[in-house]
Amino acid sequence: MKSEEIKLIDSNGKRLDGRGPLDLRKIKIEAGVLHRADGSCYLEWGGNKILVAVYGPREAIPKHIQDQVKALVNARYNMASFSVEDRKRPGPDRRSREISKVISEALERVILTEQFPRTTIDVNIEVLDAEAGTRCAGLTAAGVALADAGIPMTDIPVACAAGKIDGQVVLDLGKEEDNYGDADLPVAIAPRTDEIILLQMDGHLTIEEFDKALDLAIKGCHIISKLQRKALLDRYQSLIEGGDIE
Amino acid sequence: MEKDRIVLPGDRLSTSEELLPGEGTFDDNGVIRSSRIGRYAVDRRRKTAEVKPLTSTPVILKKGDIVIAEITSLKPSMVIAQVLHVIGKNREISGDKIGTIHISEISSSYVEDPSTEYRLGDIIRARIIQVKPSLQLTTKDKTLGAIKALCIKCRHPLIRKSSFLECKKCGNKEKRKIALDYGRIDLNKI
Repeated sequence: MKSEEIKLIDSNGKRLDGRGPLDLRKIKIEAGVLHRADGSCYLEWGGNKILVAVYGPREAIPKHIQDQVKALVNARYNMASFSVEDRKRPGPDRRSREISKVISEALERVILTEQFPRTTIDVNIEVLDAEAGTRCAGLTAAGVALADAGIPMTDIPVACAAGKIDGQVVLDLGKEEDNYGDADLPVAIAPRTDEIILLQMDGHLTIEEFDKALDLAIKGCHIISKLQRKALLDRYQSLIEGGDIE
Repeated sequence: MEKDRIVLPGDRLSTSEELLPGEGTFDDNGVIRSSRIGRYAVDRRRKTAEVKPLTSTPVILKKGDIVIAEITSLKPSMVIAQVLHVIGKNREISGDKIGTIHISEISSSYVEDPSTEYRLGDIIRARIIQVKPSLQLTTKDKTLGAIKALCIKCRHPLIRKSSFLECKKCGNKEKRKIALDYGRIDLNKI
């Protein structure tokens, strides 16, 4: 195993990119970047660059997939062929289908789908540049894009990962930490109630480590939730100020 | 009471003892919360908490909306039309788009047979008179009716003449229930 050879945490307790164990990578969120989509968001999270476009609610086609009592939430996670070091073969694969499914189900939990029977809400998540934690970044961006689309929601969903590297539980794994670390725990929550809407785990954690990692990830989610709210407020505050001048 | 405060989805607005949940809000176990981004407003008269949206919002058909629709089917007592667009809205319609126009709602004068007033593929302007349980439209107004119609013989656009429509290509004369501004609307600009 390579994990023996690579030291992910140095003697000062700093990680490879200079972060402490409880630090997040740098995050930048911008809402409403695409004018043809109903709602959109661009997000940079460390080396991740993600663009999300939301369409709908619109009539679900073919008709037999329609739900008579609620809207379908159809998230599509897609990685650009140039998003990783070796060219990714374009198109859906097993990994992106799984991520699309778990993100769809997470978003469905916060959207008031019963207001739009027989429709679909399409959420297209494009990963332009990937550096570990794209599903969390994608879901976080999707939350902002849905709010930007004016789709009624009970909360703005947010995601963050925690993990274990060199035997220590840390927040928000980077690329090397993800590849050579011991465990990765992506968590998505509805930040108002702390309801968990997505939880996956890769690797091994003891029960104590799991509890610690989960707490840490939820704390991370709350920090990112503030950034999401700020991005949305920035976008619409400026709109009002612009409107008042008219 | 805070007014004109910008709220985001999930923000607490009021309680259900105090106000009723209005547009853009939902009731969460007795607490009224916002479901979208907008400005919080209280309708004193109706005693509702509302969120006036700042984003574009999903287009839901409402009674009284003026819409553009395409005739998809003709029946002996009604016409079926698919709503394509709501005037003044820029988004796709959410939910049911298939509406019916009852024979009595086609025109203010007596109509014996709907096929004398509309034909398949006509683009009409109509007003919504009912959304639930089914979508019902009317064209009983001078400004409502066909805004584009095709010749039933050769499918070329019909040109308006004084009391009828004429096909430029084959000279076929047809009758329609037309809107006042037939032929003067650029469909790409709606």
